[in-house]
Amino acid sequence: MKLRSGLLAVFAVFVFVGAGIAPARADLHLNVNRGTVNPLPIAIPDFAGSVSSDPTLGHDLVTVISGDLNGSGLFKTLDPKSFIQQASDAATNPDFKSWGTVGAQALVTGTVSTTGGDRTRVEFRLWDVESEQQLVGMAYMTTPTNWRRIGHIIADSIYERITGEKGYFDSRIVYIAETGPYGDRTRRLAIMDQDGANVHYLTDGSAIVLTPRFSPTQQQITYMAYYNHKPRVYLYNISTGEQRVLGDFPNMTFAPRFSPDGSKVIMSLSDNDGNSDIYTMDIDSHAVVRLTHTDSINTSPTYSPDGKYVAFESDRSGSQQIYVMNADGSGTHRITFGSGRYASPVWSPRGDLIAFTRIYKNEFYIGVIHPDGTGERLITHGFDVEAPTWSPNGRVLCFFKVVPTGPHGNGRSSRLYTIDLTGFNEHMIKSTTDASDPAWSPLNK
Amino acid sequence: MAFHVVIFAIVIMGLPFLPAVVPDMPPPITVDLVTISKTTRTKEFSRHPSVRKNDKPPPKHKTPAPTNMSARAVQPDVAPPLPQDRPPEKTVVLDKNKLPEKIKKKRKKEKVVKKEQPQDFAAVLRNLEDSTPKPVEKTGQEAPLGERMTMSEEDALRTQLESCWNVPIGAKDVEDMSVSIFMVINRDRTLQSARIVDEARYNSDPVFRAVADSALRAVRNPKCSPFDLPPDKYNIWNNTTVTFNPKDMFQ
Repeated sequence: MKLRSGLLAVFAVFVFVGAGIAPARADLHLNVNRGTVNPLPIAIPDFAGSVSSDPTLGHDLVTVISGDLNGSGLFKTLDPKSFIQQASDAATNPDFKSWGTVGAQALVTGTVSTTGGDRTRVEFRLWDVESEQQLVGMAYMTTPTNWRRIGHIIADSIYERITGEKGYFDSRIVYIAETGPYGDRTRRLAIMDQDGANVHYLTDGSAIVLTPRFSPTQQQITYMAYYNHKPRVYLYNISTGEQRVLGDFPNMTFAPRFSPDGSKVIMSLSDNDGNSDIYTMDIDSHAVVRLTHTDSINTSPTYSPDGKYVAFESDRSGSQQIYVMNADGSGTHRITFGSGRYASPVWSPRGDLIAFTRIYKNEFYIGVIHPDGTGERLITHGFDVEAPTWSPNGRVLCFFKVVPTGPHGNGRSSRLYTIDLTGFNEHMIKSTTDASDPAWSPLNK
Repeated sequence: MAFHVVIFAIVIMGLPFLPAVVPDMPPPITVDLVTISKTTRTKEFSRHPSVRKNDKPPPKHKTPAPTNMSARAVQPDVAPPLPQDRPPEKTVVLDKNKLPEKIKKKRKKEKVVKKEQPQDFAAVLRNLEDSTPKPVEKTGQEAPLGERMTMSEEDALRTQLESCWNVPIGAKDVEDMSVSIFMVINRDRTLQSARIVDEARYNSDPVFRAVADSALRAVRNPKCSPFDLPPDKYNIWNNTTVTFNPKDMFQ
């Protein structure tokens, strides 16, 4: 009897414990299908520590990181004056409650130090304030002069962890720097960090340069230049400074762009009747393939990121529209049917959108459309907005905007702008000269 | 004499039947069962004075105990921000050797606190009972069996969470991203815990992880605490699963 009662007791205990550890039952199910679009409040106190060669490095790094994150429009760095905890304490032992009190949802802490002689070591951590969990923790070592790049790389890490997408801050933009009076401009090929810092001029301005484009795989640029009044497509090697003409064609070549693997350049070649067709040229073998065969203007070709398709503009239907064809020139079909003219298509690195310029009733628009012709959206417009180019992650567009200047509006000022593909957060990139024709580089390697 | 013989014979003849009756008395098993039922926690719980009071006049004043429970459950979150309370405790420990009188006082205080614990423990037990489908005594705080949240009640919570959800919009295919968060909600409508249902995808898909993190931030957002829920339907919403999907923002 004792045995039976004992077994029963054990059974009862199992039943009781089993009920206790059974999976929780969700009684209420709810769907939330919309939210808000606000920048994430993030606190970035100055990095602790110091480096003898640069006593303000901890502060300067935070300035670069904050500039990148604020510029994306997805983050809002909080005013350091509101911080309760000292930056040096936050680096070692963040008091999350105090950071939550000032409204931060994310916190970035870091330290700088010197290591291995003259190398600078930068360590940072990204924290979720509510859950008090570390989201990312990394350390980088570099030469002291390379500190800005470390700032961009840290900003990319934060961006990637919070948004789920690769960042784009550690990248550059090549563009045309314009100086002199309107109508007699000096145009030089220039390159800068995506935030406008570290400007370098690549050409001296003796020839007009247009439409620079980055190679997706190498530190190489292709562009069109008028040397001796003869427009030609050129290649420029950023690391060596070497430049050469691409091909030897009797007529004008223009609107060059690299293939996704960087082995070819696709461009337009004009004929004697004023028409143009699209060709590819292998960079090494110089083998040329003609892709279009119409008596019309076919230009501004751009590859899809997988290299299978080419989008381009053509007036073959009577008005300037965007078309998509297979990479071998077959299967051409039109994807835009709106009023006005469509120009300069650029395929997103993500592959899901094609950006374009649309001209309608003397207004310029920058828009995006799916490669199948659906979902056209115009995201900005102005007196003259042109030449969209995608950030390496396909999230942001850079373009140039021209505005009339002078008392009678006879002058022109041209600047580079970036805008999120959602149409929010348009802002100007600071530059020392007028700027046009931007082309965004891949992420630095 | 003959009478005695007869009596003796009956006793002799009857005796064999008496042992036969004995085996028919094993109800000790039943007794055991009763014993078990007496020792369940439910019984212990019902011994508590505060509950005894409730036993007689049925549901009316059951509210205070759950409120204590939920407040206690929130304490772990509330306690950390009071670091000032901790150092004094440490200094008291340091003083222990020097000032034994203070220790006594402190211990007395601790004893008082310990006395309060059974109340909280009882409240937790009751909460456990509430969370199981077991038929529980109905109180004024609980929805009748089978009752559901009304559309407007669900909309109220939905609208509140929408205002707290900062969507990482623009990420590729984010409109197709669907993240479910399982929440345990305290009786005072504050969040007790929240976890992502699809943890495997959270660890492998960075865009999903970003959306999931944004959803977690939404349910933990102080702006959305306490949740906009009908207090009398605690047993319906104490376990809630919210699925976040920004598809309406793309229409």
